[in-house]
Amino acid sequence: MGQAGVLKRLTFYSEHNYGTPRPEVPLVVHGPSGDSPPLYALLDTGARPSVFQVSVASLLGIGDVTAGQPSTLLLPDGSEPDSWVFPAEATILGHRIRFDISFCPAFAPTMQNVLGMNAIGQIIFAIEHANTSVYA
Amino acid sequence: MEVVTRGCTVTMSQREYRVGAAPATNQTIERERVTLTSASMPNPVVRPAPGTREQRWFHEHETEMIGQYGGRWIAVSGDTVLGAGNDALEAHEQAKARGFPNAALILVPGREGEWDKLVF
Repeated sequence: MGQAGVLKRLTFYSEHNYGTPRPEVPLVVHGPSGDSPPLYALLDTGARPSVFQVSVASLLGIGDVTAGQPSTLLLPDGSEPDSWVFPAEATILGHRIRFDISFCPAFAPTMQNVLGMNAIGQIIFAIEHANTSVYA
Repeated sequence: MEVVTRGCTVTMSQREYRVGAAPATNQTIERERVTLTSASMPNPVVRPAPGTREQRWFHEHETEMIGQYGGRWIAVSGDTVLGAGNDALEAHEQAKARGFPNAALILVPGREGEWDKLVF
């Protein structure tokens, strides 16, 4: 290998130590009726949509998830279940961003919330998984 | 502390925050490392994100929590479970009724290692 050099210098304002086998981070969703309690979601660079548990919808004041914009997801098994999309605003790792949240009733109820690239693509962050830390 | 990673030098400092995480009567101290790449940055205001402490606590007690609440949602403040339910709202309402509307909501895996098999 050649001599190491600085390719790009990034500035991070915080470090979050998630301490789990996967990079899961806390977030707060800002809704019309106020802020949600802290929730958790997986940073998933392999997904474009952000998909949350249907159970979370009611917490965010969404009584009927099918009232959202209809869409579908493509799951690893090739299935394309229906989903419904809602615009949202949330604070993730100190960054307040707007993104769409999909709710998919076909998602197993034990699946973790997923933050896809439509959300985390707005944040400059780095994962140092050896120390279970994410910088943002 | 100064570390070098991939040719970049970053300076790491430690700060302490006092977190009034109820219902504990004593305040607890939570630490967060702050990473800076600019020596000229003015004293930044960085606090642990809400839910950070609960996430760490849950991870340390995950086996115990799976045994008690596997597959359910729990509402946690500090190191105390204040609500549990089959959905997030149910756990939240229980915590809220006990005076903790901002208790973190955690989905407990149904069984040990369940999430290790997930592929998205």
